[in-house]
Formats: sequence, structure tokens, C-alpha cells
Amino acid sequence: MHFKPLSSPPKRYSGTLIKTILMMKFTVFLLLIACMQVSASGFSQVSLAEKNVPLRSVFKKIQKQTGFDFLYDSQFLQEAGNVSIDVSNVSLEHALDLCFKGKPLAYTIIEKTIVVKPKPLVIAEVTALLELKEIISGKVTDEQGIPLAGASVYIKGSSKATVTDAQGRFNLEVDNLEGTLVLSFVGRIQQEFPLKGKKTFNVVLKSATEDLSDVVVIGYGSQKKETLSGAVVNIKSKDILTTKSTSVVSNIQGKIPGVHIRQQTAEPGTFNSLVSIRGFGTPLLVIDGVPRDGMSDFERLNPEDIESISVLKDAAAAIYGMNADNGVIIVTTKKGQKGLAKFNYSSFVGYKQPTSMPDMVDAYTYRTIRNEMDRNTKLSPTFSQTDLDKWKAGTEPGYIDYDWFKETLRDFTMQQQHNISASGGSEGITYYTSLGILADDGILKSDIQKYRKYNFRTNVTFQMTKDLKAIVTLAGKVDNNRSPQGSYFWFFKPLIIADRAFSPFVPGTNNVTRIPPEFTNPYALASEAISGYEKWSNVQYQTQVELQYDVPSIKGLKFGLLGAYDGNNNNWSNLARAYNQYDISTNAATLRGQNRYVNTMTQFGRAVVQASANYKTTIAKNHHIGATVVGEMRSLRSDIINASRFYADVYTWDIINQGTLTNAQNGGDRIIQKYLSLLGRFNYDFKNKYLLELAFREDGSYRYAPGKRWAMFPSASAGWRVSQENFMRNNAPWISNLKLRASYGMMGADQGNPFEYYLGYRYGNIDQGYVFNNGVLTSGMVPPGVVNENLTWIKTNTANLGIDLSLWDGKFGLVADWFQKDRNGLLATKIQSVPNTFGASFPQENINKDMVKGFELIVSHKNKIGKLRFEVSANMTYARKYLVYSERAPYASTMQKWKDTWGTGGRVLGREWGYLYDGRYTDLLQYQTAPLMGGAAGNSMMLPGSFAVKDVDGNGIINGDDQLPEFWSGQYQGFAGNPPLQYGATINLAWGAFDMNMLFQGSALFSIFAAPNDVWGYGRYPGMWEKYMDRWRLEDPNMNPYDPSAKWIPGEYPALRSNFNNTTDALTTDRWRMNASYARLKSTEIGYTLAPQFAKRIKIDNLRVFVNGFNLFTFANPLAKNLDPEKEEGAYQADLTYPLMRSFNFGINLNF
Amino acid sequence: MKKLIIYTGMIIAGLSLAACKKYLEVQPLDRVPAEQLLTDPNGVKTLLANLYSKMPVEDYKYNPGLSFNYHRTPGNNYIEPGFGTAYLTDEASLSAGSGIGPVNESYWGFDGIRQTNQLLEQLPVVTTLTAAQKAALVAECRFIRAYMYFTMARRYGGVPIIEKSLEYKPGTDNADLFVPRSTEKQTWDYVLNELEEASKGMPASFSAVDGPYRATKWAALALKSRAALHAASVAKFWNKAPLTGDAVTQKMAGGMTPADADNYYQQCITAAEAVINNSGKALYKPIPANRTEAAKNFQDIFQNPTAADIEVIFKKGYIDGTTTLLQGHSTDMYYNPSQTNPGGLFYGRSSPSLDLVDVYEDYTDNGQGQSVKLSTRSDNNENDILADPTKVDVTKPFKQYNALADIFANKDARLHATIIVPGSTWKGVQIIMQGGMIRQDGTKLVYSNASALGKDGKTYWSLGASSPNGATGFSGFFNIGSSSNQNYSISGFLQKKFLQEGVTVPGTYFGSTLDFIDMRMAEVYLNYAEAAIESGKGSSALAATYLNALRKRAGHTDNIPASINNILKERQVEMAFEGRRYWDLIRRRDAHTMFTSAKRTILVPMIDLRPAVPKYIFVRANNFYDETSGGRNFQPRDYYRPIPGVATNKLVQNPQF
Repeated sequence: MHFKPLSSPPKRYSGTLIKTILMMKFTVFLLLIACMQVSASGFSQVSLAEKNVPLRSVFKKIQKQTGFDFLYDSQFLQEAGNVSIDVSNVSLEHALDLCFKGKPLAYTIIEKTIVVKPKPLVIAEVTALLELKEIISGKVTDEQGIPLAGASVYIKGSSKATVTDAQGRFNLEVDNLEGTLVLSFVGRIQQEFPLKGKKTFNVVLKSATEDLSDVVVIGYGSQKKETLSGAVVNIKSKDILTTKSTSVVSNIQGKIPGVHIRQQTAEPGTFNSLVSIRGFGTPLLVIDGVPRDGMSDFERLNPEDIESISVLKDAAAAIYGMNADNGVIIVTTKKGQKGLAKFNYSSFVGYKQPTSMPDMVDAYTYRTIRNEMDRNTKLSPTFSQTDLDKWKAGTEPGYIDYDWFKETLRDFTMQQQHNISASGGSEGITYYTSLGILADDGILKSDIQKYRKYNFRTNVTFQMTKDLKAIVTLAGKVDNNRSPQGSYFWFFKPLIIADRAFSPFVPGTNNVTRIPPEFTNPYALASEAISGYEKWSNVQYQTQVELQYDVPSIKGLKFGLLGAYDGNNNNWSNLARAYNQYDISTNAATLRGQNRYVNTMTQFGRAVVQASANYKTTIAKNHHIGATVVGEMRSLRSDIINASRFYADVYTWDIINQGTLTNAQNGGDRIIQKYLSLLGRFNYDFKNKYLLELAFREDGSYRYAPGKRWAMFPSASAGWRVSQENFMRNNAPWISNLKLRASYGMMGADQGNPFEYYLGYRYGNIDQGYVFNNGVLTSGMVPPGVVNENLTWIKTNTANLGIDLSLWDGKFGLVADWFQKDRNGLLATKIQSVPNTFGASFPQENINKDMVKGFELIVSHKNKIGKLRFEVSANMTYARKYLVYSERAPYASTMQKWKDTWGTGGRVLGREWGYLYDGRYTDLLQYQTAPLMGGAAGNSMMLPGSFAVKDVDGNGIINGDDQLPEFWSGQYQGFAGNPPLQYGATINLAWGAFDMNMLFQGSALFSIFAAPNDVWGYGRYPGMWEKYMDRWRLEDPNMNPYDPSAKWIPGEYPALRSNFNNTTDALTTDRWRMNASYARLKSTEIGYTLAPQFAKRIKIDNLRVFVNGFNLFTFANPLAKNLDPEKEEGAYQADLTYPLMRSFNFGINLNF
Repeated sequence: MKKLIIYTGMIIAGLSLAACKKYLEVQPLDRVPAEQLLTDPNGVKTLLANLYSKMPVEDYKYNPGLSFNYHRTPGNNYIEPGFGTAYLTDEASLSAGSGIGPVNESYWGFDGIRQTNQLLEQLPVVTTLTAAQKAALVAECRFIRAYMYFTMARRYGGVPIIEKSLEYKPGTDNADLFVPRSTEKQTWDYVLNELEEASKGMPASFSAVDGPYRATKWAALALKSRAALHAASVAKFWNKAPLTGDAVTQKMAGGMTPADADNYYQQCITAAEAVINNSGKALYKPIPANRTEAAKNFQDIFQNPTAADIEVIFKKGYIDGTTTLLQGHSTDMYYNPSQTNPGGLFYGRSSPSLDLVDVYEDYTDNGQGQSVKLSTRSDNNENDILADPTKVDVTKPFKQYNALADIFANKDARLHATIIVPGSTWKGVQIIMQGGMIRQDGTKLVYSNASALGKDGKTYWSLGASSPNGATGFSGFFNIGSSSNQNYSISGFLQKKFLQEGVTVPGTYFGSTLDFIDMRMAEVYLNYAEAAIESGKGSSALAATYLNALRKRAGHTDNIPASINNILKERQVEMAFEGRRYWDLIRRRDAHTMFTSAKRTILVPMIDLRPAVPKYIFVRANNFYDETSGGRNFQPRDYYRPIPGVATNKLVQNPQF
């Protein structure tokens, strides 16, 4: 029997009891935790009858009865006081539980030894104690000398480990004084010291935002950042959470160079931000080693669950080969750490309002302007003076102005998000588990718009034997949404153009009015009771089991086996209601629409199996070698069923069976996809100085003919850490890091219709059947078109050159990359004249080619002035796409070729044709000599204030030939929907307990179109933007505008007109297609962290409160800003999409 | 290290095992291999169903301006279906739109031809079918393909003949895909030969299981007689409308000789003879007891083709499409008079012309088969045709009839079976079509509705009734040309053929399932007669027998000589609206002379209140749309349709396109 003293008890555990009480609140978690903490049972029975005796004597009795030894610190035992216990024939565990009830003690049974210790002590230490030989000790502090509590201390390659106490002190028993001591702390540079007989270590761990020894998750493994040779960026939980929002993508927008993010709408539940890496297109999303569902899945992740995000931008992505040619985003979720449960509660509640909503003129103003427009268009005025007078008074029924925005939209709306997580574990098991809730409501007053999301995630790691570990992940989310029956486009358009002379209801009734010009009623369109709804709900789960086996006989060799099954059930439904709209004056009803219910259900499943082998070794001390081989199988299946019914007689319920059989429709489909991959990687570095990585991947896709299924994607990268060279170290010690990188690799995308190689008949439509027997339709089976056995992978070559530079310990940092990506074998159909006698169309072939070239740059600076610490980082990416080859019919002329924006032969994408703005005409007489604008009508419709347009070809006539490729394309155009130039900057400030994070983000080299003649009420519709009031107008409104003697008041816009016929006013110039470059203060967050001494007093570990704001301020062309340059323009470039939101959130983050 | 190799080897072996090719062998779930279909009798039927559905039968769903199998649906904005080619001729006019369809029909059936070729290539390799079964299927496919080529030949003249599914070879210039046009003669020879070969392999009949609606050898021969007659007529008459251009010099359009004509007439005669003598088919109820029965019998052929099976050689069937759109057809809805409109939004849309009505014989004629025009005037001046009936001169000697229908009393039974005439009874309702009135004082009111007293003290309406919702059919002469009144006759007549009188039809789209007769014995008789008379081959006596057999079935008791005019007139009245008239005008090159600023005529019945008891008079006038558009023209170039896609298919374009 051995009684050995333990190291002195760390005081920070004294709050255990209160903690336990707090824990009671989270029964759900506790249940889970309880399950995990159950140890082996089946011990001996004990009987005890003791009253107020020291624990030590109880232990002796138990030892006698069971033969189990006790191991404890006697001083600590005394502090625990006496105990009373009266049990007979209970299990050992039960007896011990009773003994320790209410005591700050815990026990662990190891073989035949019962180890008693202060509650949170880690068993590893105890185990180590059993064979204790030597003790080393020391203190860990930061640069300011402040102790670092909880820093991990261990001996490299052994199980000897401990953590520092509140004073930063540690004691660690070791077998001998030979090994290497490692000290590490989150966010600080890890340090290693060979013991060499030394027993005391007082160490300063430097802060490491730019921690080169950080381990970065890369494809199928991880690597130290310093030895990376590819363009890989990594962002950790801490930096993701510096801004809190409802979407992960918003959290990281502008923070990762090369990752272009554009929020297209703020429509709740859509999560349709455009994410692209270097402008390539949608990247591959990998969560915990398994490719998942893409950007929508990414955006919906709970940000709190994410440990880190790695972005593979160049050939580093080639290890994913298949569909990784747009780059890869790898998300790693949080895992538990040994120790008692740690809880985190974080939440925020936010207020938000649109970033841009047009101001509209009232009904009276519109009518006066309408008359002005009519005169300007040589038409007689629409409204009489008597009418106008009544409108001006605005009191008589029927002459009252209704602000439709106020009638249907809220001034602001709310969002809130709550997340709670727990993590911890014991020797065998660690866990992380979380539950998150998001509620996001739209700005419609009708309350129809509601989005709810519930996330959960549980990651459990089992250390099954010394060498075998299992990681089990169970994650899921349920989200659902309800929105108006039609799209927001068809809500916002009627809303904006609605004649404000109409009230939502016929006065004195509940009858919704029928409002020109579209004869709709925004109030009805937003009401579920009147017009119906669109709903979807989505239940997603992701499950995963990963086994990791360290082969004991061969150091450095690991085997892994991973199985994942993900599923998704989606239920989408749309109910369109028929309803009457009423004439506002006669109350006569007009029926709108038909009652129709459409329901689609989709069931999706994906199974992934990965087997891997990994070997790492060092030869002759300086040659570091790593090798990885992985095989992967992936199979996906979707089952889809949809149906729709009309309700001919009466609408009853939104259930398919409740509808009418006439014109009932249904459909169903099943899609099965399978992939197989084999990949390998070889890493080599010499003294961490010369880096080389070779990788290959062989992918097979079910999609192609047997001979075309497989594609080999090799890649290579190399790096040189110049700063590690002695000549640099000696001559330029201020260069902390200088690395040159180069990479080249191939990737692929499996696109094109599946089974193009397969000669098979398809089931025909109804009209492809025939009646052979009376009253019976025999379905027709349609033979295949042209079978193409040659269709195969699109292949991509990616090249990257980069430099990493860090000076004065990271005070100044620079990362620059040049990249080029060539895609070959893009799908196209041979234009080469299919004779229409062939009887079928040509199949898709791998014909086209394109190329993206660009560079990116990150500059960073960090420093501190007094107590103020700050970090500034700015990044930008410029990427443009060229069409190298694009299959098309021959051009009829060189002019045609020149004008084709989508032309071939090295053409750069992203230019738009338009006219050159050349000032304004200010006097009617100028039109006598000006180029002719209006075709046959000449300049007869032009007025002072109209735009002058350059007569480029000088023929005296303005027509299509005067256009030039003058403009950058709009966001809706181009290849990835993202502008070629994107930039971002983050500023982090910390001052004592306060921290502040600001994020600037923006884009340039694109334009936005303010379609003047469509929906913005520029004459065509009753809704008119207030901004158009700033127009050229007559001093005396009653004069004839075409009278040369009339005096004009200048304005921003030309004279308003009922139509633009025969004028230049609507031609595409920079007046309408505006430069939309912008920079916006995307977010700012200010947080306050409670000082540790206060936190301790209220028995918590950490509390941070914060306020943040999104889309706070935008620098842009004020006219473009009106349309929010970041937002997508949507259908018809009309900008009728759900507005982006400026939001303010208040939240807390609590750890206990 | 040894272990490392072993472990790695195991992993790789495991992976390779998994990687075995099978894993990626995903069965395409949206398609079925040919073998699976070809070894199953029902599978074979599904393959045939696709080909049959592509067969260009000019049925209820043929819209010459749009396509075969054309459906009027919300998806295509409810565009008028058209009715075969009748509106392109002097047979009838659409009540809606401009009243006339442009000659713009086209059929470029190479997708169907390719698909037929594909099946023809797959059939021989099937091992589970007997040689006889294969031969029959091959013959059936050749029939379908020949039908497609026939349909193209009469539109384009010579076309590329492609008898196998061509192979597209990526990366080559694919020169062999560019098959040039054959000459018109080669094309017709090909069609006739294919039909002949097909007829040899096709069965004489199909069992109820195999499908009575499939084409038999008699269908192949009947089609051959139709095609041969067309080819012969073009060979004989193409020079009546001379065209110039590459297509002509290369004999792709026209260019045939009198010898060719004789050859084709002979083939027509031979094919027709084979059908007449061997098919077992005959005229339905050839000897009626009286004219009423004759009209009933004739009407029954079209409204109950199953009962008239003895006469039907090939027909197309439909199933009800009221619950699943696109399956049935909508004939009963589009063409019923307003009074018997089953409830559709569109009805009464086909207005037969007076020109056609006039062609029907009168039983009191002179025994020479002369068509007798309706008698509207006591001075027998039937050539006084008004441009504008509102300007009718009431002092002209109009014949007065006691009842609306009296003027048609002695007309051929087939008129009454084919056309709803004013005052006749349809579905138990008297169909009143009336365009105006002459008041007691001689003032007139035409094309608008008002009432006036007759000398008998009763109230009469100028349009025959007080309102369109009244008990009587409203006249279509009101508001002609306005979009709101497109549901009424604009000619004084409505179409009856292909409407079902004894059947309650739904007032929705696709609600009719009435079969469409594509080939029947009457046509074969007339094909024989025309070929015999035009060529002097065959038997002119038989020609006369066949001609008069049709007349006898219609209640005529006399015999008329088999002159070419009599035969053509008989084709008009016997096969009105069946899709023959347009092609008769085309093949005989009569269209351009007939339609030179030509205006089709209408009949405007008016009530005359001047006599003690009101009488009906009938005014001849021009078709409103023809009058307002200055008459209808047919350009000689329109005997051929433009070849589509010549820019890419490198074919020689037809003249003047």
C-alpha cells in the first residue's frame, strides 16, 4: 500500500460546489455527461456504520472489506472533514459516493487502487504519480509577467502532463530528467525545453496571433503552419466569434483573404450569400473530413461549434481532387477537453432595419408630376386641376394618401440567437455538445415571414485503448421558414409601384382593394389568410464515427477508418389562395388566382467511408517525412416526390388529398450517385527549411462511360523558409519569417449529364404515347439521342506562387500570392452545324476552356501602445476571367466579334456595352446642331436637361453603333457573381477589459443598374421615387416645355417623362449604370470582459458582454448606395430583392 | 518496416476490393435498355407507341401553322388549334382571328425517322422474337417511316433519304451526316417502294390484344394509293405553276415526266385494287332506304367509327383527357354551336363556306351530277355576291322561303351529315343562324339585333332571337371581326362532321375521345377512279362504279359518268374536312388559280316581314375576313414549303425562299 502526497491542491477548484448547482440547470447536458462518466462497475460489496469519523478511518474499513488500496493527500483529506455513513451490502462505488457527498473530492478506481483527489484533477497525473521518480516545477507567465493559469505542461512523447494553477505554477513528476518539456497555451507560442537535468523552469509564453507552430487542418490531415507550402488560410474559433451574427458566412466576411463573400439578400432563411475563393465559383465544403452540402450547409452551421476553418486556395485543394477545383473550405468542429464540464452560454438579441428603402412621393405629388411628365411627353395632362386640388387637401374620401410602405412593412424587426454548449471529459471520454436556436423574423407587418433554426452537435471522443481512439459525431439541424406565397420580387414590385391613392381595404369593409397598375394588393400578397404561403422545413442530420489507431509497433504509423452517414428530409409546400379583390369605388369583386396546393418532399442520404494510413518519421534528425494514403467511397441518394392539386369547388385544407382530382399532378424521382477515390500524399522537409509535398488523387465518378470514369489529379508544392537559413538569421534577425511557396496541381469537376454513354430508352410524356387499344394509352418509350462515350471530367490546372513575410515578431506581416487557374474540357455542344436531318441534337462534349488569373495580398500590423493592443490586417484579391475557347458559330463580321461580350480567344469577361455620357443639353436650341437621337423623330422630343451622348462614330446619329465596352458588368453578370476586386480590413483593439473589432469590406470594378424606366416610377407607374424630384423642370410649370423661351431649373435628373421614346434619357450611360464600387463598415463589435476577480466572485469563469452592428456605414456613389451595392439586383436587374439589413445586436458570452 | 508494408498493403488491397469496378456501375434510373423492352411484348408496344405518336396524321390535333399533336393549353396561351388544313381551302374559315390561316405548315420529321431507324437496327439482334414477329415489326416500322417521308415529300418535294441512324463522331468533320436532297422522283419512288414492301410484311388485321388501332397491310396500301396519286398528279401538273431555281433544275422540286405520271397512276390503281379486292373492307351501309337514312349513315361513320369498321382502314384513337390534360382532343368543344356548347369558353369556331355548300348535288338535278347552287333568286342570278350585306338591295328578286331550312331541302344527304345549316336540328335544338331583317316598310336591319313586328302581329328579331342567352342560337353575323364574337359562325354554316350528336361531351379541354379516321374505303375508291380516268389505265367502268357507289350510299339513285370533274367534285363533298381538299389543290396545282384575290362566300339568311306571313330570303356575300383583307392569294412557290435550316444542313432551298 502506498500513500503518496499529491501536488498542492489548485485553489481554482474551490468553487466546485456552486458549479454543481449551476449544473443542475442543464439537466439535458448532465444526463449526457452522466452517461459518459460511468466507469466500470461490479466491485465488491461493502457495509459501513460510522458516525462523524475522519475519512481516513472509513477508507481503512473499506480497504479491509474489499482489498482495494487508497491513494490520497492526507492534508487534503483533513480539510475535507469528518463523515457519517450507514450502509450495508452496497456497492463500493455507492459507498464512496456517499462518503464524498458534498466534499470537494473525487475518486477514480484504477485497477485495485482508489485514487482520491480534488475534484477536477486529471487522472493522467495520478497515473503518473504511481511511478513517480522526479519532479520538475516552474511558473508560466505572459509577456507582462501575468501568470497563465491552465497552460498545458507535458513531456514530449510521454503521458506525463499537467496544467498550471492560478499562479501559473506547475509540478510535474517525470521518470527521469532526459526528455523535452513542452509548454503551451491557447493563443501563445508553444515552447520546448530539453530537460537536461534541469528541474525548474520559469517560462514566458509569447502571444501568438501569428503562431507559426499552429497546427492547420489541411485535407486528410493536419500540418504545422510553418511547413505549409500551399496557399492555405486558417481561421480559429476566437477570430470567427469576434463578430456574432446569424450566419457563419457573415462572421467571416472580409476576414479571410481570397474568400469573396457577398451577401445577396437578408431574406430570413435563404442563406444565399455568394461565396467564392478567388472568384472561381462555389468551393467544396468539408466538415470534419467529409464533403458535405455546400455553402448553404456552411452558412447554417452554428458558429459556436466551429473550432477552425481552413481554406485551401491553390493546388493544396488538389488532395480533394473531385470538385475541389474551386477551392475547399474545411470546417473542424470543437472537441471536448479532459476535465469537469465547462459550459458556455452565448446569445444575442438584435434589432435590424433595411439598409436601403426608397423614399416615395405621396399621391398628390405623383399626380402633379404625372401632369408634368405628360406635358414633357407632348401629351395632355392626365389629372384635372379640380382633382389636384382635392388631392392636395387630402381630406375627402378617395383623395387620401396611403403610404404603402407603412401599411405593409415594419420600421424594424428582431432576431435572436442562443447557444449553449458543454464540454469536458475524463480519461476515457471527452465530449463537446451544444444546442443552438435562431429566430429571425422578416420586416413584413403581416408577420408571415418567420425563420427558425435549431442546431445541435455532440462530438464524443473515446480513448478505447492506449492506441485506439474513436470519435463519434452526431450533429443536426432543423430549420423551417414561412414566407409569402409569391416570391419577394412579386411582393416588392407591387409594393413600390402601388398607387398611393388606394387604401388597403375598400373603406368601411374588410375587402382588399384592387390596385393599379398591376391590379394587385401588397397587403393581400403578404397575408397568409388571403393569398396563401410558402413553407419549407428541413431536417438534417450528420453522423460520423472515426477510428484512429496508432500502430504500437511502428512509431508514427496511424490507421484511420471513418464512416459517415448524413441525411436530409425536406418538405416544401406552397399554397396559393384564390381571393377577391374589390374595386375601391364600386366594391365590385374580381377573383384573383386559383386555389392550388403544391407539395414536394425530398429525402436525401449520403454515406461516406474513408480508410487511411498515415506515417510520419524523422530520419537522421533533419529529414522529416510524412506519407498519407486514403481510400474513399461515397454514395448519395435522393428520393423526390411532388404533387399538386387545385381546389375546384372549395378550399379545405392544405393537404394533397383534400384537392380536386381534375388536373392533379404528381411526379417523383430518384437520383443515385457514387464516387470512389484513392489518394496519397508525401511530405518531406529538411530541417523545416526546404519543404516539398507531392500528392495524387485518383477519382472515379459513376457519371461517365467505364473508360472515362477515372481521372488522375497529381499536385506538387514546394517551399523555402529563407528565414531559417543561417545567413538570414545572422544578418537579418528582424525577419521573423520569410517563406517562398510554389504549387501546381490538377483538379477536376464531374459535370455533364450522367449516363450520356448509356444506350437506353426513356419514358415519354403523355403526348408520346399512343392508343392501340380502345380507351387505353400505351406509353411511349423514347430512344436515346446521341450516345456520347467520351464525356469526362472537367480538368483544372492551378498554379500558385506566394510569399509569406513577417518582420519584428509579427509587427509587420505580408502574404502575397499570384495565381492562375486553367480549366479545360468545359461542357459545350458542338456548334459545327448539326444538320437538322440528323434527327437528334449533338451531346455535351468537353470543349470549352477558360482561365482565371489574379493576385491577392494581405498586410498586417500589430503592436501595443501602453495598455492598448491593436492588430490591423488588410487584404485584397483581384481576379479576372478569360474565355480561352468558347464554342460558337462563326462571327458574321469582325465588328460582331468585337462586340460579343462573351467572345472567345482570350476575351476578358465582365465588360458591358453602353454610351458615353457627354454632359447635358441645357437649351432647346442646342438640338439643332446636336446629333440626332430619336430615329425618325429626330431631336423633336428632346428637352433641356437631357443627357448628351457621344456620337462615337461621328455620323450625326445616335444609335447602337455608338456603344463602347465602357462599363464593368453588374453583379448579376460575370462568372461567379462577384466583382473582380474585393477587399477587406479588420481592426482589433484591446484595452484592458475592453475589446473592439471592426471589419471593413468592399468591392470594386463592377456597376449597378438603376433601371429608370421599369419599376422606379420614372413615369410608367404611380409609385415614384422621391429622388426623381431633383429634376430639370420649368420655372413656370404652365408653359409649354418645348417653347424655346421657357426657363428651366436644373436638377440631377432629366425632365421626367411618361415614356422615353425618341430621347437619350434611358440610354445606358454612367448615369444609370453606375460605378458601384463600395467600401462598407461591415461590422463593429465592442465587448467587455468581466475582470477575473469579479468573475470569480460570482462563481463563473468568464463573462463577456458585447454590442455589435452590421452594415453600419457605406462609402459609395450616393446614387448607387440607394440601391445597396452589395445586394443582388435580382430579376430584370430591378433590385426587387429582399433588402440587406443594418442590424444592432446585444449579447453575452458566459463561461462557467 | 515489414509490418508497415503489410498494413499498407492490406489497406490498399481493401480499397482495391472496394474499388472494384462494380461500385461505380450505377444503373441509370431514368432509362431502360433496349433489350429489356424488345424482349417483352408490352415493351415492344411502348417502342411502337412512341413512333406512332410521331407519325404525322393530320388529325384533330394537327394545326398546320404550328405542329402535329398540337395542344391548346394554358402553357401555349390558348392558341387556336386549327382544324387540319380545311381553313387553307375553300372548305371553311375560322370564325376567330383573321378567319384564315397562313400557308405556313411544316413538318421536318427527321427525329421520328431517326428513332424509327434506331428501332429497325435493334430489332434484328433480338433473340427472343421469332423471325416472323421481327419481319412484321420491321414492316410496321417501315410503314411509319414511309408515312413520315410521304408527309415531307408532299411539302418539300425531294428530301434527304436516311435509312439508318447516323453516327455522330466527335472530333471529326462528320461529313457523312450531311445527306443531300434526293430528287422529288427518287423520294416518291422511295415512299411507294417502302409502302409496298411494308404491306408485304404487315398483318391483314390485329387482334384485340395487339391493338386494333395499329396499321395493317391495307393501311399501307391505302396510303400508297394516296401517295401515288399525289406523286402522279405532281408529275402530271407541276408545270401548271412553273418555278425556277436550283431545286427545280436539280429536279428536287417537280421535274417529273408524263411517263413518271403514268407509272404513279398505275401504282395508285394497283394499290387501290389490292385494297378493294382483298381487304374485306367495303362501304358502310351502301344502300340506304331513303335520304334521311343516308344522312344518318354518313354521319355515323364519323361519330361512331367502330360501328363503321367495315369502311375504316386506319384510324387514330384518344383517351379522355379531362383529368389528365393533353390526352383527348377538344373537337366537340371548339365546334359545337353556341346553343349546344357543352360549357367551354371557345365554341362554334368553324364556318364552312357557301362555296362548299353549293358543290353538293341537288336530288332534283339533271342526272349528270352537276352541282346545283342554292337557289336564292327567282331570276336565277346566283352570281350577285355582296361585298357588304348591310347594303343589300331589298328590291332584288330574292326567293322567299317559308322556313330557314327549306332552301337546303333537296340537297345531298351528305351536306346535312357534314354541315349544320341554318334552321336544321342539332342535338334536338333548332339552330337558327340569321343575319338580318327587312321590315314591313322595306327598311332593312343587317348584322345588328333589333325586333320588329310582322304583318301577322308577332315580334321578330333580325338575328333570330332576342339574346345570345335565349333559347335559340345567336347569329354569328353580329359584330363580325370583333374578338368578343368569335364563337359564332361567320358564314351561315357550322361544321357537323366529327361532332358527336348522341354523346354528352364535357365542356373542358381534351374531353373528346372520338376516333379520327385517317383512311377509309371511300377515298380508295376515289383514288382509283381519279387515277384511272387521268391515266387511261385500269378500268374506267370500275371508276364509274366506285364513283356512283358513293353517290348511291348518299341516297342518289342515278348514275353519273366518271369524268374528272365529277370525281373531283365527289372528293369535295364526300371527304369534306377530312384533310383531302388542301392536298388535292396542291397536287393538281389548282390552288394558285383558285386563290387569286379570291373571296370565299357566305350565306346571310334574313327574315322578310313584308309578306303577310314572314318569309326567309338568302343573300350571298363575301367572307368578311376575305373581303377586308382583299381576298386570298396563293403564291406558286407555296406548292413547296421552304426547307428549314439550310444554313447548316447545306440543302438546296426550294424555289423563291
